Amino acid sequence: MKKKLAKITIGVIVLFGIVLGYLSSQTSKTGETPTTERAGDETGTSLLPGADKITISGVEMNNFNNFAIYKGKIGDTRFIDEKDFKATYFPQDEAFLINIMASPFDIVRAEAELKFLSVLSLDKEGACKLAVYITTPRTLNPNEAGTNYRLSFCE
Amino acid sequence: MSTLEFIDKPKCLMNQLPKLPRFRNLNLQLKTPRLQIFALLTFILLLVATLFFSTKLASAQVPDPTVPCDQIRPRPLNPFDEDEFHSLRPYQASPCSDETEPSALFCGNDLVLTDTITVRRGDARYCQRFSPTEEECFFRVTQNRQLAIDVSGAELPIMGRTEDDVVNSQNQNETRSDASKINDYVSWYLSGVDHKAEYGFSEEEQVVNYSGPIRKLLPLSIQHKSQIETLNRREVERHDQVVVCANQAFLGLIGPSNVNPCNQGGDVYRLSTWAEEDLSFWNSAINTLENIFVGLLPGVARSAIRTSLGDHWNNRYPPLPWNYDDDKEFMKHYLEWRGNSCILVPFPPFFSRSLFCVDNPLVLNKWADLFSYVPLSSTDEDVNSSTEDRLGQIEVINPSIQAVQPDVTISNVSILTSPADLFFSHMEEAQGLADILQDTYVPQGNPKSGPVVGVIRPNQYCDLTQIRTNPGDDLFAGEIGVNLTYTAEFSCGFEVFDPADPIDTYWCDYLGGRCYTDDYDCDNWRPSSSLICPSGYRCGSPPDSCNPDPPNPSCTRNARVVLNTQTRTPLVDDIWSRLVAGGASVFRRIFPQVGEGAPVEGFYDIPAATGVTYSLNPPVPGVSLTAGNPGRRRGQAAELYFPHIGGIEQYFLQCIQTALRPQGFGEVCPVGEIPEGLVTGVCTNTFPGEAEPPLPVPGARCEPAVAGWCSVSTLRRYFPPGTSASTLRNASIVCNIESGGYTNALNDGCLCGRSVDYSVGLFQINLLPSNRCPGAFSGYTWSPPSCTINDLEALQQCTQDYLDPETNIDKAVRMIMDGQWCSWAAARSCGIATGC
Repeated sequence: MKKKLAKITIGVIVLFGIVLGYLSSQTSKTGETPTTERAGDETGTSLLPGADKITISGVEMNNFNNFAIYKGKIGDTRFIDEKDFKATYFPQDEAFLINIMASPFDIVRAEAELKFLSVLSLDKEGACKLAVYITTPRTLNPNEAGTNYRLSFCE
Repeated sequence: MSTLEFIDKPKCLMNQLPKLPRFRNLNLQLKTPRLQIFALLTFILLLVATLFFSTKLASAQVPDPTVPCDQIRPRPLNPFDEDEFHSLRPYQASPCSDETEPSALFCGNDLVLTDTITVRRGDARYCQRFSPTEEECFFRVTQNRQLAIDVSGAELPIMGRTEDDVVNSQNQNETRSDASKINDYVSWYLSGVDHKAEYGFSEEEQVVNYSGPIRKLLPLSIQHKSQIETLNRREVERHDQVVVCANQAFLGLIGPSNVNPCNQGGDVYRLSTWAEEDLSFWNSAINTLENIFVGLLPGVARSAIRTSLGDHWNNRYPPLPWNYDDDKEFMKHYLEWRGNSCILVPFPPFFSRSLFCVDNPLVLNKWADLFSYVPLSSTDEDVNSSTEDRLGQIEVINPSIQAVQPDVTISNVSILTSPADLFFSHMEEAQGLADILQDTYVPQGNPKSGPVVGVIRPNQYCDLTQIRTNPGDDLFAGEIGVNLTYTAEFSCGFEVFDPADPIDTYWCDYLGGRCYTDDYDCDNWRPSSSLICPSGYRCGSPPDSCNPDPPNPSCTRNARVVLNTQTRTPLVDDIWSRLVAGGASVFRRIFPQVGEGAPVEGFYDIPAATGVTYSLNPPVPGVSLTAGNPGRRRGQAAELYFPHIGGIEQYFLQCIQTALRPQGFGEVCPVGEIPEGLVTGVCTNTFPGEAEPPLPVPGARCEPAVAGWCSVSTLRRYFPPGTSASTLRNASIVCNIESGGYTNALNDGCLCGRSVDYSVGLFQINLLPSNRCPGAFSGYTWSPPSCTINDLEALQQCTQDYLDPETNIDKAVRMIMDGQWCSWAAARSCGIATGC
């Protein structure tokens, strides 16, 4: 009798285990199954998506950390990386730097300014409240290099 | 799954049959079920036929509307036949990314639109008589044309082939041999012809001779890692594509898996099949039980028992050995993945463990057996290895308009154009597979693509002397939009309208009219007769209704709109660098030395070409379109050109094979003289100006940077304490002028004869002096500006080092503290450096 009881108990436990296993396997189907972690997942928390909007110098704008392309050693965050121009935010200076990397300067500058407004979802009035500097290397625009231009519509 | 559903439905209907008859007549009751069964069978047959034929109709529509990356195109009966085109291009023209960059530009056809302007004299602004019988009329016409130029018939050669002569979901007749696929197409060569859903079980010859270099060279565990990467990228960077179709031997439920060509049926296995579900419910149950029991045990024993008796591998993808400290634990999981159930038995007192396994029929072997069909992906997150299309474009550059006739003046011109999309297949795949192939020999962390060296470019832009082509995959080109507005002013000469006066005759007067020439218009005209009016006149009445009817002659002028086009080919620079021309390319693995005196002295940068048809869609009356080839025309037919791809075919697909065969076998690599005056390099920056970048004009401001890396506040951290404020300010000025504060600024002008520069980073540290990057350059000249790379890897390493802002600043600080201000043109122009 005791043997029968033991067999029944074991049988119930095995059956219970099978049911549990089946249920857990069904549960796991609903989720992703990440295997090896992607290298990109380990590149710092600052690139992780955060709030949609941030405020700098009293101006609300899209949170560029959410679409940052590069994060530098002094916290510089590049969020526009077009072939002809780049835009980077420097938290220590609370300033944006737009690098013009093609010529003619004026045309590329205008294009970069439009992109800057568009990416950050800024209007011109708001953008003019920010510290935004536009520079270019000597190799590409020798006559404009060495000057810290402001946004053209703020001048 | 869909087959089961299909069978279930008739069963349900059959079960309802006894409830339906309500006839009292017994004979009818007997006959009715037969009728109903007959009707039911007929219905099923019709349903099957409808589905079958609707499938064929759908198959003709290629490609179907864009399928988002996280969706698939299911088909009820045979999922593979309709939903995916080919395992190497499952979703045509449905790219997972709308990114076109990075891309390379190459010239295309000159499209010439001829707009015919037809005016009538009545439209003239004014007319002037310049002879008794002739006048000149002046016109101003504003034309506004909304045109759509349809681009069709374009294929991407050499990169891959999944159409027409290759089996795919719409063509079961393969006429291209495996050898041809491997020899002629990059995609097939790299991925191999084996383990493809279209062909089912891979024949021995396919595995031995046509599996490509990656499968042969890459260790199995690395392949597994690469395949797991593919699973992870599904629905984000690639569609959840069909991997393989197979049936299990016994009742389709258990036993070994028989792989079928997917068009012949079988259970369909997609990427998600491996990624989203457990290996077996048995392992789930055992692991659950083990967790319950182990939870009751003392803490010390838990780990040992868990790793020895429990912790059964329960993923459908394999374990990777480097995730284990103990080889036996890896082997346990690996064998469990292969369908075994294992335990690790410890033997005291040494506690060495032995592995015991038994093939467990409740843990299916098919997941391991079929896993080899999962395609490979690069593990570099920046490299997308998917079989998805990549967006490129045909875009119009420098549109211009001119009059055909010299007397036409055109003004107020506005030509707005929009590019036509091109869907490039096999580019992402080739880039990723090239990256994997490079992994077999490039040391970890070293760059695998970058500047190309030893490349002989065409003499002039688009001066094409040779191209390569073969049948490729459709680019599904879209339309080039042209919104054309202009004003044309011109004059036309006409004969002066001077109608003859009417004359009176007896009979016409009797009829109540007068005789008029055809230059008049009257309410009524009497029958023409020489008795009534003389020749050339007709009798019109009543006379007060007859008025001169001046003609309105027309005049035609033409304006010719020239649209220079260029193709934007995605990823091709990177593929060219990885496979042929870069320092770490596969080709240079076989020919490490490229240069004078070496077996290969340089690479011809050969483009590929495809025929294309341009047409106005819809046709616009008065507008015609012709397409011509630029430069030295190769022919009259319109063509699209793709940079580098001909060179990839020549060197990667052909010359490597020739190099590996006995002398005299294989295709001959191109032989020729390196043209004089050509610089064997390519600059990354596009600086269109003089050979040497000019200094800033006198009087230009020399401002220190106010933000970022070049700012005084940032630079101060890298200078010795006590450095004067003026030195910091001057350093900031130099940094600001040289790079604008952009850390990745690179002026490699010496590679293309532009300047004596290989200047890197914030302070544009020039690496040409021998002590800056020892061994990188074998020399450089000032006139003409040039440099010769000696060790590309060393140069790449130095470049990488100096692109780091801190390394760059450190170097600049040392130079400044040594008083080397003269090294910088910016310092000279701003008066910082004197006496240079």
